[in-house]
Amino acid sequence: MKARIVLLAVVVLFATGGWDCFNENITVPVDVKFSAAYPINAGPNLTFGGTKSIVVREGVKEAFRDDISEGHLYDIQVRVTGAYNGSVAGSAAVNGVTFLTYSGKWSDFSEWQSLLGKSAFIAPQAAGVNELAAVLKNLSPYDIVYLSGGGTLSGQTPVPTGLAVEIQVLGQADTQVN
Amino acid sequence: MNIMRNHIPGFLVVLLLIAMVPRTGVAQTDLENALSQLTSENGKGYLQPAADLFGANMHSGYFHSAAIPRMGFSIEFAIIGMGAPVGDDQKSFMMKTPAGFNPATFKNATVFGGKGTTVTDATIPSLSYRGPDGVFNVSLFPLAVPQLTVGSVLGTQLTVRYIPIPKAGEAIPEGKTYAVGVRHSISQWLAMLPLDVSASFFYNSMKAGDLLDFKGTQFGVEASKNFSVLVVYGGIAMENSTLKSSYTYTDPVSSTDYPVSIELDGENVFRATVGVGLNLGIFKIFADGNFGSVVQFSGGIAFGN
Repeated sequence: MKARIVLLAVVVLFATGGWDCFNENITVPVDVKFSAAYPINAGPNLTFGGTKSIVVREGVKEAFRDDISEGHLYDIQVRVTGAYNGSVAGSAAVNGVTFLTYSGKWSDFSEWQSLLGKSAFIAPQAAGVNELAAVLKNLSPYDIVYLSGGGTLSGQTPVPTGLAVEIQVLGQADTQVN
Repeated sequence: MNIMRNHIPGFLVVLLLIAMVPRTGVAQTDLENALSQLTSENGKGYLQPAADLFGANMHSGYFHSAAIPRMGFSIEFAIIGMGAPVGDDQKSFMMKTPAGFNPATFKNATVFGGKGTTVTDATIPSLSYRGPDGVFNVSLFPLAVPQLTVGSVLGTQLTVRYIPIPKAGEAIPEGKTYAVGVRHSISQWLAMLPLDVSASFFYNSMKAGDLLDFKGTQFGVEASKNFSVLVVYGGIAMENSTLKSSYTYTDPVSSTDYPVSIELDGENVFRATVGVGLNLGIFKIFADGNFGSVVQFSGGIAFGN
């Protein structure tokens, strides 16, 4: 009998020593990226622009797409693709509110220019950045985000083929894992 | 409760304890998901306490006596429980934010911590960044393993531990943990010693897919003295342990997948053990404290001759 009580005590010791020890509702922030490319038509027209509709879940790694909630905005980036001898100036907006303006030589944007990188070629617009942050804060997988972009080239004419301006919004979305 | 006390059989205790072990496997889903969002450097900070405490735990409970017969068949089956207290300093680490974010680091939960922290950029307050929650909510990091010891040949015993970790769902890899070691009686060669003394070497391993790959070795010297049914034992040991973890990290800017392989050395490299046990015929019960860089406790029950 004493041995059995000792055995039970050992079981209780182990069972209460942390075996049922996992945090509940474990939140892991997963990366969210909204990206949009705005092609620039070849020819004499130096302006470009457009609006991209992005389903939120498509900006999230597949494993987490259907289980995302509150998010965080942490960077905005701009770059260009293609070769052009001149300059570019433009802006980007979310849901119609401008969050970024940029201006510089085309070659200045051959690498990503970012807010976190303190790029001298881009300028955040507070109202639009706040709007982006609000969009990310209230994430739902099937929400649609409208990213607009447009601008003007100056320099080489006619515009060669294969040019585009790309905007990236980087954030995180909370997901709960089990 | 009284019914349990009266009727719980010994083998059920063993089954209960072994049944608890796969729950450590369940945690790997959470762990895998949390890790996949971390750079190599942040992954190291998040996991380092697990390497320290897991290493210290896995190297404990190998012995509860230094008495080893010179010849004759002996067999002992034991269930060893181990626990390493989780200190406050092991519940958080300084996590790096993306390049250019201000601040560059912030205090976030480790795998043993609570809720993750959200930090706001000092330059552009609309920007913020969050770290993952911890997975284990414990003040004591426990493990339990079955252990079989057989002997003796020229005062030498073989000890083996083994637990298969079953696959659970698609995300949890199948794995196993095992240990093997030998202990040799020193006192058989030195009859004048008032104590039983032995020397030991152990190797242990735990692998669950590529996510967790733990290996460790320990060299030790043990001593014990019997006082009727009471046995007092102790020892010193040098040890090392390494936890490797491999996972895929997706760069958020380029969307490129990068294999991440991190290797963490356990903090504990030396331990002194002090313990006490009761030998009640074929049944034994024992507990000890292990003191080194990581303080850790183990204990258990054993059946055998």
